[in-house]
Order: sequence, then C-alpha cells, then structure tokens
Amino acid sequence: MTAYVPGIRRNTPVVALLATTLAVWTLYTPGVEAVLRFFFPGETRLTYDRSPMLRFLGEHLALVAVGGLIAVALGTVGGLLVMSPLGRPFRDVVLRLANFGQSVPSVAIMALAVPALGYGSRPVLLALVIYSILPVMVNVVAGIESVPQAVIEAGRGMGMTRAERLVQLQLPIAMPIIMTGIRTMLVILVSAATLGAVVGAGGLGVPIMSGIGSFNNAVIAHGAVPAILLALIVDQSL
Amino acid sequence: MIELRGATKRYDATVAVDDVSLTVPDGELTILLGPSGCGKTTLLRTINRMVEIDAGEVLIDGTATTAVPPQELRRHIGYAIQSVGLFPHMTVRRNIATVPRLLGWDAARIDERVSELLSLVGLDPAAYAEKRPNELSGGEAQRIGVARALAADPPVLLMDEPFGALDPINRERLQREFAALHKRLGKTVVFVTHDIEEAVLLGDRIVLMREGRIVQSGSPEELWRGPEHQFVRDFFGDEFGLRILSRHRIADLTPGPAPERALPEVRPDTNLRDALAIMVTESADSVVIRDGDRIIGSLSFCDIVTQVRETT
Repeated sequence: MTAYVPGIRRNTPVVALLATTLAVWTLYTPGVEAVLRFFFPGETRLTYDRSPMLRFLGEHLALVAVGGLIAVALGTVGGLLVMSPLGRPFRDVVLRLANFGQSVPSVAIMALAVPALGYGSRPVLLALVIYSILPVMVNVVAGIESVPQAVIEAGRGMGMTRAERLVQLQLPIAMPIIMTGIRTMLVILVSAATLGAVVGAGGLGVPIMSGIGSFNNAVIAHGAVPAILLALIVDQSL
Repeated sequence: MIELRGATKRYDATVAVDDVSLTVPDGELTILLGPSGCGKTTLLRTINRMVEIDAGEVLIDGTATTAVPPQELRRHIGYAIQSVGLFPHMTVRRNIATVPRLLGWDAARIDERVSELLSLVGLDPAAYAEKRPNELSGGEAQRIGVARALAADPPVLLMDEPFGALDPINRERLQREFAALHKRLGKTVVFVTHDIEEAVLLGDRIVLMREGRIVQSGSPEELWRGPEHQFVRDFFGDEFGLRILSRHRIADLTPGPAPERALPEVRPDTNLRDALAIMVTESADSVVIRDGDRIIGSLSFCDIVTQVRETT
C-alpha cells in the first residue's frame, strides 16, 4: 500500500540539525558548561551533575514512547469504535469525555494517582495517556469523517466489505489528519513528561525541578534545552 | 437480463420505490429518468443491493440477487457514480484495478487490463496510469470512473448520473463516446439521469418515473409518439421532437430526387436535428444529401417531420 502524504511536513535538514544539537548537549558536558557560563555568568554551579544527562533523556524518551504508544492504541481504537455503526451513538459522549480528560491538569492526575499507583513512572504514564488520548481520538474521527461520501459509496458499490473500505480507503485517506493528531500528542507528551520528576519518574524534569528548587537558572536550562529540542524534533520529523 | 418484480422500498413513512416491475433486456441501455426524488437512484441501487428491497425480488439472468452475498454480487456488476468517487490516495492504475484486485486477479493480468481500459476510454495508458485523481480534469476523472466500472468486464453496468458533474461541452463529448462504447461492448446498462437531453440521446429505452412508480417505459420514439399520461408530455416538453431528431441520421430516411436549384448540403450521417438547423440557418426548405462526390437525393422540411414520425 502506497502511503498517501499530501503536503509532507517533514523537514529533514532541520531535524538533523536539532538532533545533532541534542546529542552534543547530552554527551559533551564541557561544551554545555561553556554555553551556560556565557548565558549565566553569575552561577557557580552550571549543570545538574548528579546523573548524566543521557540517563534523563533516556527516561524521558521512554515515558513519551510508552505513553504515546498506549495513547495511540487507545485513541485509535476509541476513534474507530465511535465511528463504527455500533459505537456511533456514543460518538459525542466519548469525545466529550476525552476532552474532559485533557482539561484536567496532568500534574493533578499524577498527584491523585500516586496513592493508588505509588511513586515512579506509573502515575506519570496514567496522566500522560489520559492527557493525550483526546488529540489522537479526535483526529482519527476527523480523519475518517473527512473521507468523501462518494469514495465510500464507490467502494461499497464495487463490492468492498466494511473492513476493506476501512483498511483500503478510510484509514489511508485519513492518515494525514491522524498523523497530525499524533504529532500534536507527542509534542504535548514531551512537555508534560517533564512533570514526571515531581512524582519520581525521572526524565528531563529532574534537572529542571532541581534548578527551580535551588533558584539556579543554569541548571534549569540544562534540563529545559534538551526538552525543547526534543519537542521540536518530534514536531518537525512527523 | 435484469428483472424487477414488485420491488418496493420504504423509508419510514415514504415509499421510495413502489411496487416496480421492470425488465431490462440484455445489451440495452436503459435510462431511469424522472424528477429528483422520484426514486430512480433508489431503484438503481436495488439492483446491486446497495438498497435492500422490502418486498418483491430482483433477478439477474434468472437468479435472485439475494442468492449470493451482496459484496460478491457487486463485484460482478459495474458501478459508476456522479462525483466519480475515485480513490484520491491511489493512482489511476490502482483505482481501475479495484475490482480485479478484490477478485484476486494476478498482477500481469491486472496491468494488461488497466492499459486496455485506458485505451478504451480514450486515454493514453503510459501518460495516465500513474497519475493521481487530483491531477485529472473532470472529464478525465469521469473516463477513469467508467473504466473502473468496466474493469472486471461485468455484463451489467449501473451508472448514476455519471456525467452530471461535467460542463456541457465535456458532457456531450463523453455522452457520444459512451454511446459508441456501449454499441461496441454490448453491456446491459442501467443509467440514472434527470437530464432529458441525455436520456433521449443515449437511451435504447427510457423508464420515466414519478413518486416511486413507473409512469411509462419504452423507446424514446415510443414515448414521443404515444405518451400515455399528461405527465409524460409535460416532462419531455415541446422540445421532445427536436431531441428525437438528434437520434436519427439523414441516411435513416428515404430521400426524394434532388431538385435543380441550389440548396445547402448535408452528409448521410448528419443527424436530423443538425440538418434542420442548417435549413433554418440557410433559410432553405430542403437539403441536398451528398456522399463524397455523389448526390444521393434531397430531403425537405416536410419529409423530415413526417418521416420521423412514421419510420422511426
């Protein structure tokens, strides 16, 4: 099956540049210190040095990847269900519920989930998934609803089964819109995952929180810059 | 042969198709004609079970359409619709190959068939097979739509206002080409339109509908000569006769001897409506028929008017 990607957004040179910057920032501490010293000459401590940045980046990526995968799976299944003949009566209710999930601040969900799930990555993943189902599901629904009725009717008239219409027509035609939803979700996830540090899930939030705690802008920047780079990479590469 | 026996379809309070019985003979192009909301599209869709009838039965070559699953049935009936419904994410080749792929043809056979069909609808396979629908003009897209409907060589073709979205010039061109194609392929075609001109030009038979029922059916000439209801007369209007003229050529009539005076000339394959138009333009009461170097004879205005009613 050929992919249908009108208006490709991917910007390879920019992504390469951002990824190189991220790699250097993560691996080459003397360089990072030089940059931070230039911007924050007043700080005596410039970097978060209790653990290597690579570890935080790895934790952060893991949170985003696991949370993202679960959200894509649930959001897609949910979107398809409410678009199926059986689920269609629930379309509005489910979308409103998902909207509600996104309105609740993710930190609040994390805090509320800690007593049940304990500290660590599990409350964070729960919050991230609840938070990011909406953009996936909304775009699955919007994508499928964007498929012209004539296309569906033509497929039906030529003897495609419901499953064949879904796989060969609706999903591929909806794919650009679905991908937009996934991109939005991943960007949200990268930033929301920084809050995971609050409940001990690690990630790039750790240096940020530490810097905030000690009123040290250089340390905040040490964790914030890779988080920003990561968000930009995700946005530009999908 | 398609037979509908007492086909009925209700939607809540309204009856879209009301106890319709109809026989569509093999190889003919049958037009379902009528004002919007008359049930013609619903009737068309009962044939491939996109609309399931509430009462009655539909038979194709003597077999009830309910004898096979609807998908199976539809894969053996060509289907083309007004807005074409080409799949925007697929190339022209894959669009045309839709039904053959569903039927599991091998790749070589599909490729061969796609080229054959593109040529058939007047498009160069090398130039068009890899194009996407958004790179096609309306007329080209409509040709692909027809090619796609013909892909698995179905004996029956259902068409729902296939040329409705085209500009008048392209529409007329495609209509004429399609008429020629139909003569060549001899498919059984059921064709929905609300366009009287199109119906009279293309139809071997016209089924005129109103409020879910057949008002009258027959060849355009039969409807013209013997309308059974005032509705038939009103629907076709005063230009019906002129439109009938466009279905016939000079060669279909018996010419008289050519007079000695100067008259505008027509060819044997000129249609009668054009011949009439030439007379009006040239202020002549007759035309001389010329076939190459040979003068065959002449036809007067009166000859045309009387002979069309008597001989066609």
